[in-house]
Amino acid sequence: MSIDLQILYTLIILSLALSVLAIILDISRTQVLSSKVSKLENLVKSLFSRKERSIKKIRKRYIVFSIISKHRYKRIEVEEAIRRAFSEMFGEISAAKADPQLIYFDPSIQRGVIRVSHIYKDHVIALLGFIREINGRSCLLIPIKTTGTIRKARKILYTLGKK
Amino acid sequence: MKIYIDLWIKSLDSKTAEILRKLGYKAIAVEEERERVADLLVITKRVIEANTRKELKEKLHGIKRKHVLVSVKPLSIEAARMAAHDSRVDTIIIDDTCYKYIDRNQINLMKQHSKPLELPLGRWLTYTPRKRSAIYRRVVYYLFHTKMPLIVTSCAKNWDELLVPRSTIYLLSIAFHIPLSQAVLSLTSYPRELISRCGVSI
Repeated sequence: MSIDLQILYTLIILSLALSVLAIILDISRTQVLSSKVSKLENLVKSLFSRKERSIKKIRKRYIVFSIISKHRYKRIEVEEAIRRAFSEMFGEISAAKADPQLIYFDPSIQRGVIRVSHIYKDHVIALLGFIREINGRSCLLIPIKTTGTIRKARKILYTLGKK
Repeated sequence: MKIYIDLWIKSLDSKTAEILRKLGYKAIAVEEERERVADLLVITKRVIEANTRKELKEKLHGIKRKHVLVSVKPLSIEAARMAAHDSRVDTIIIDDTCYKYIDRNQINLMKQHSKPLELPLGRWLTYTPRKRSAIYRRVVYYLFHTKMPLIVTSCAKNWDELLVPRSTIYLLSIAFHIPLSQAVLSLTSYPRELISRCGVSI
């Protein structure tokens, strides 16, 4: 009888030990999972914060372009044509946000530099090729190069593709 | 270096050829060649407008296949279906006169017979907003959904109607929501494939 009791006790102790072990393992697993979840959360947070940061900081881009035409245009004519075409093609609000400015124009070589926010850089490049006339005179505007600094833009204006 | 190709120029003179060279085009398809030009690969383009199946058949009869690019502007459903079936046709044009006949079934049929759609982009911007958006819907919903190629042309009569390649690529990307890498193909690889099918190599 006493032997049976002993076996019973040992069995009870063993089962208790096993259950304790299972609990410990479960806790460790949940800890691992929670650490993974926290890592993921951090990653998502960092991604969002990076996006927010990039939207907040609007950088400038300088687009160098040239005009092919029989006529020689003045700076004001070209700037007005670009602004009008932008608001016609992409709307008034986009035009206000993009704010394309003709910051430099050399009438002798009919080339210029447009300053625009980096978000609307593609829009301005797309637009330039489709300006077919300025003040009723036919022309073609060709985007040559996009840069991040005005100094580089001016350098390109006088050097690149003079032919 | 990218090889830009314009598959529809209405008439070619020396001034247009000079600007094409400046813009970086290597090959063009011309409907009416006024002057011979050097440094540019020029092939002939035939644009056929047809109201009926019979008319299209008659107009296609006798066209030489070599060095000639055949495009069809269908003016009825039956002409559109026939154009998609016929092996002599290279491209099917979509513009303000025929956009109604380019429906989902037509695009599926074009996919079966590997016929690309041709869009005169310069003109597309001058259409009325209603027609412009109808063409946009057909291109984005049907054509890109079936992963069919889109070929962009200028349909230029004068030098000032030519497409500036870089601007065109960016406009395609913005207007039709396609990545730049895919937009480039509309001016380079897809037209090049068609030209090589006509027996000309670049």
